[in-house]
Amino acid sequence: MDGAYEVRPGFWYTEGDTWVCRTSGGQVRMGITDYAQKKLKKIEYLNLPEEGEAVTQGESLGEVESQKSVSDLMAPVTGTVLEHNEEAVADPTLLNTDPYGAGWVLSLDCPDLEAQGTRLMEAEAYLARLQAKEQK
Amino acid sequence: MADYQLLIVGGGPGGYEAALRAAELGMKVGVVERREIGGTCLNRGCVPTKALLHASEVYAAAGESAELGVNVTGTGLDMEAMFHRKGEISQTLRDGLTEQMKGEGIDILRGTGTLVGGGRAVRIAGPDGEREVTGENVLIASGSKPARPPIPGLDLEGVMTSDDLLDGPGRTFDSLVVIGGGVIGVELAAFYSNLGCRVTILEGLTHLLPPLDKELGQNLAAILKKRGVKIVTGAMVSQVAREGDGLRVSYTLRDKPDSITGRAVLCAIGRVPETDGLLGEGVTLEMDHRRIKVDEHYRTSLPGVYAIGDVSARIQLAHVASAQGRSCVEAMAGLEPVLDVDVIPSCVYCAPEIASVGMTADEAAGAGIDAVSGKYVMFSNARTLIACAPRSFVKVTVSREDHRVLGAQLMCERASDMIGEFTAAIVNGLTVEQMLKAVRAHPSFEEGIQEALRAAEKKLTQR
Repeated sequence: MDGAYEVRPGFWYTEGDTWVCRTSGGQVRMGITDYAQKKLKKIEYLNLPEEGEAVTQGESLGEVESQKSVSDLMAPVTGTVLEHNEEAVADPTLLNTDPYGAGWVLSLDCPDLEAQGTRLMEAEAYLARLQAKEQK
Repeated sequence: MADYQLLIVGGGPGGYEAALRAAELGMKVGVVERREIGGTCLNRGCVPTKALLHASEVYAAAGESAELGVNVTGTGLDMEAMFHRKGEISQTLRDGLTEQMKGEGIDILRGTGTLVGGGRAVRIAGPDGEREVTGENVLIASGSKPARPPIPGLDLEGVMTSDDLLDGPGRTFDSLVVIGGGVIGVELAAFYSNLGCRVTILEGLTHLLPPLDKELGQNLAAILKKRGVKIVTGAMVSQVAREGDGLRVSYTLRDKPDSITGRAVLCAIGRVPETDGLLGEGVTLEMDHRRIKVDEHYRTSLPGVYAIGDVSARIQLAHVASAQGRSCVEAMAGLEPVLDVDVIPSCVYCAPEIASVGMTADEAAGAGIDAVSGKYVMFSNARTLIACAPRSFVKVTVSREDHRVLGAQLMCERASDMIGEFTAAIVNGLTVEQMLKAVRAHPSFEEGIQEALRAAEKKLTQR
């Protein structure tokens, strides 16, 4: 991958540095980007919505805490929370070590993911945004 | 002429505080009490549970003290000694309170009090027989008792309420199932877990400590799970059955049946008003479900009869009962009540402590108030690091319109001793700027308050 931050193709990205994708198993999962985990440094705690709660694209659905700061988790899509990644809840540093894989945060019920994805950035656009930010 | 200007049924925190205030205002006061002065709080509630929690924390800390360079070998538990100490503390406080009441000229009338006649006479069934006394005003402060909902098996031996645990002999268990993840359930779960017991908490709602801010219950769950406590939320208990030496508690979780066993079961589902034996023949009071219905001056439907505390209040806390008792008496004497009983702090004494007062951000939003929330997580607070405390935080809710502090939720060491600052701020309508004028000592846990206030102030300048 180009640049200092990993950006995974095939995922969609938000301005709030969260991602969403459909897994090979058909689940819709979200997490934070490599850029976000590097900025946060060691992640200590995930403050997540309850399973069954509705979330709205673009709004904060919870928080990611590090020793350095508390960051809002931006909902990449509108849907309902299905499941927490309990391994990441128990060990939030998974978001640092594998933000796009084992460090996924929530799975969501979002039947129209592909349609909502048109309102999000694809990998190239997100990378360009990061590069522009770094140049400022 | 009545025997007493004020006759109080119940000598717990509501009753004794009302009595002391009334005596201070020159009233002749009698307090009817069928058990011990001090009520549930002093004898079977607040005070003994905190005494036991403290002992259990010392035991747990001894096991982790090598990190501090303190090597402790051969720690053991003497449950009899632990419970004996708990009892001694209650006795000391009881004796002191009784002395104080007698010193103020308050008559303590031993026995069960039953309102008779028009409600302003009380029949007392005591150790020496029955007698009747009258009051110009009667104040019911009979408190509450543990609820036993109609779940089959709750009457089996080995199924206890907090009364049974705290009144019973000093003992611990291999395993304990706690039904109910409210304050009493989590505190007693923490106590037994600290002593090495395998504890499971079954809570029917989505998170522990349901009336409080969700993050408090979630953080506590994460901390308790790290200590080996199993927590099941969304669990609706359907029955308890004997199984060998222990008990099996059956429940449904997301419509699927499941169960868990334990050597003992604690039923901590809530408390109900204590009205057994309170009303004699022909005496009726308007009720609000199981609570005695009162107006804003604590008057019941019977003239001259008042009620305060757990028997009538929505919030069942000792300091609510005390505040209501004092306010009721002040109103009787034609005075403006001193305390603001609409702003009530509540505390949970696990480690770290939890304390909450006023509105959460969600409650402000629900009330249509435009508010911001400032949060500080205490990872870089020196005292928190020194105390080896788990994840701790301070959250503040502030009105965007006038910058008044609307509420605070603390989860940190000494939270119960820090919340008073916010209670005082809210009742006096202080703004975030006014609270930030105070220099806070360093190093202290309350520097976390300063940081949370600054975080809220920063959000006020953003949109």
